[in-house]
Amino acid sequence: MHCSEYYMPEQYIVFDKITKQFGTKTVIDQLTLSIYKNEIFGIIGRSGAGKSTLLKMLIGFYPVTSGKILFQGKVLKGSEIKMHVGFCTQENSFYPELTVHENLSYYGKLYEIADFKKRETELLTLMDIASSKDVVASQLSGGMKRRLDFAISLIHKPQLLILDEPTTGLDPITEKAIWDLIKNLSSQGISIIIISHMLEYIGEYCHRVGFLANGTIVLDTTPAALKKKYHGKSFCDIFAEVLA
Amino acid sequence: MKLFTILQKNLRLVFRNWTTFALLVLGPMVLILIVGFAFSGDELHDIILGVHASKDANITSVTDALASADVQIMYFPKIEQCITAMNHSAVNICADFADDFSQEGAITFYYDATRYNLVRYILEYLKEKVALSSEQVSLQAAEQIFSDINQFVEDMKIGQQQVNDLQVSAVLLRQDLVDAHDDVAAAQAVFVPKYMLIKDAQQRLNDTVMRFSETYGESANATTIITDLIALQETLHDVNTTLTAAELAVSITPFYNATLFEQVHNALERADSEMTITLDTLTSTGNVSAITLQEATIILNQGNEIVRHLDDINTSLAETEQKLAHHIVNIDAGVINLQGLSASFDVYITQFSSINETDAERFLHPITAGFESIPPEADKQKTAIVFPIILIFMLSFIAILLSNMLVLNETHSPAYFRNFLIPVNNVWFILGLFFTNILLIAFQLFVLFVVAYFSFTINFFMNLPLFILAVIVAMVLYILAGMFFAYWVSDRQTSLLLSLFFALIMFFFSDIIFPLEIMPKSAAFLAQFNPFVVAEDLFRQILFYGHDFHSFIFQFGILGLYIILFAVLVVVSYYGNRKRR
Repeated sequence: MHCSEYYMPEQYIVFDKITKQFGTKTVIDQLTLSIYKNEIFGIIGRSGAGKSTLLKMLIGFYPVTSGKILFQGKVLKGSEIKMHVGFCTQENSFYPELTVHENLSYYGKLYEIADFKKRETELLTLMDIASSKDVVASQLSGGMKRRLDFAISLIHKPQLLILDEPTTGLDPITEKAIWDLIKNLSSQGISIIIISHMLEYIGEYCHRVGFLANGTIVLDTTPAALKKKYHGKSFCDIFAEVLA
Repeated sequence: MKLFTILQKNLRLVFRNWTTFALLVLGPMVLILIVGFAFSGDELHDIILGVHASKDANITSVTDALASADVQIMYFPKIEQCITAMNHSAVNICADFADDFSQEGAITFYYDATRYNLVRYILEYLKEKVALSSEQVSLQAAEQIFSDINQFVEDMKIGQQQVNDLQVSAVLLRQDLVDAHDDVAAAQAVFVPKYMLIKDAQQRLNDTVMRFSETYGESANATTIITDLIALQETLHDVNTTLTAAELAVSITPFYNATLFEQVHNALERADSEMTITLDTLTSTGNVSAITLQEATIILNQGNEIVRHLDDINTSLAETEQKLAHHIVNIDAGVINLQGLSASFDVYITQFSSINETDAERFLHPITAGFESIPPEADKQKTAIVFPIILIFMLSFIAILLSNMLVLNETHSPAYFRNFLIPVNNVWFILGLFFTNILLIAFQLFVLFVVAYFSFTINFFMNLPLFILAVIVAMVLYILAGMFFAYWVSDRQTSLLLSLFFALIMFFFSDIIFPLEIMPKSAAFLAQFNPFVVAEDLFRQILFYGHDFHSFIFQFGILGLYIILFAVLVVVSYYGNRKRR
């Protein structure tokens, strides 16, 4: 079952005409976009298009210059947003000197997880890294590190998971496994926003795709609709044509 | 060519990044300039010399020699008060002038041995000044003493000769006076009987005249009167001759009275003249019966006149004899006084003769300076004395570099970005790193203290709570400084180099190598606020003198201000660092 077959009518996040300027430079310009619940939304754009800025505004790291971001219809405070969102950066965000358990324990305590042991077991099982619980993170394989990063990002049970290039540097088999894991997470009721240049996987696993150019979403559609419109063309060709 | 290409590329890399350029080129230049600025002085300044001396001691010449435009004198009623002030760094050195300084010239200097690098300069200065002062005093004293001795000896010689001459003169004079007195007495002896006779003759003449006038013709024996008058006249000649001899003897003395002798001589001459007239009258008359009453009255008047002159002579002779006797008594008294004076000269001569060779040391070294270290056992604890320096040196470098590295590790950790995603106040992350540094550095310092306690015999227990507080304050300051550089400059190498430069500048701009009192005044003014200097001063005074907290309000105040400054900078630079993500 592909993501394009889902129908998710409930809006979870709404970007309402948001603009972000750094000095005189406008990086995001009057962007409007909706993310639905349980949806995997892929954002595609060229380098410097404003993808990272958009996500950092979403998590409250950058304040918006104008416009607003609504979480289930509300503008949330920074600390509330952080409880709603999990974020996996392009590079793994954990302490490589600590073990898997120590990393999870550290972030679990900072998030003040009530029943940490139970949550840890859930995550280790979900991510399939239970056997590596006491392994120092730096000694994990690339795929395992990604799984640990996912686990840390999900430790506080966020409703939205943001993935920034989640499969960069992984071998093809691990890549596939990570995308399957993403899909699995979505099926567990988590909305996911993915930034990736793995266009084929985007086309295959995402329910919707947004093309970001010149600081705004120039095309917001489903992979199925894209394939129908650009019949016969590869996703790379479609990407190049849309963003051209 | 390849080498040139590589060299060109390397230089381009260096100059492309302004922070790298600043650290590699400007940093060392700034360091050299600052070090050069701090080390360009060679004269002591802003030295306060505490002085204690008894009220009677005359120390002006020494204090004048010790004082200068850069060395101020501050007087203390007790030396203990001066030492306490020195222990609080209010005074640089204490000079205790002995109670018998005027005689013995002893000064004891108390110096703060814990300021080991300043001590050398101060002792050199004092020794030079004391030696100079001592030499001057010695020279002046010697010159004065020799001059006095020479003059006194000369005076004594002249005086003694004068006394001897005077003695001889007095003896001779006395003899002359005695002779004169004897002559006058002899003249009196000759004159008085004759005088009495003439007085008797006068009486008889008066009686005769009276009878003559009463009986008109009664005869009188004029021959007897004539004979008596002739004898008297001869006597007057003898007296005059005797008086002339006496006058000659007395005329060389200060007691000679020419008027007195002249009166006597005149009286004698007048008496002689009157007597000649009377004798002529009596002789020409021959027979007294032929004398008329008028003639008898004239003779009588002449006789009375003679007697009046004789009365004057008698009175003058008596006065002369009395005065000569009085002069003889005075001369006797004068001779006795001269003998006393001569005896006192003998005493002075004896006294000067009693000056012996052992007094030479006091002439050569009129000021003897002793030097006492505070604390007294400082000489035996040379390692301990430098411990505050070691402590602040290690603490500052460890704290600033360790905190810098820890923060850099955190900010460069792949996990760092996640801190911004967690609903935890950023202050907790800063405090977390801060206290991690505190723990690590505290452990390292604890090891240092254990080693110091057993190896250097440092007494940490004199005021342990205050010492711990001082260490914590200094540690906090340098940790915050290291954290600030780490948050401010993201690049690891640049940040570490910057921290190192900061620590080096603090180190070189302190009084570790050159004391502040040697630095140029403007450099010393700035350096006194150097946290390195302030903390070192704090450690030193607490460890060696154990003062209480209120003695260090200035030091804790300065360090507190730095802590506030760096804390603010840490927070600001943290958010700046976050923005750059």
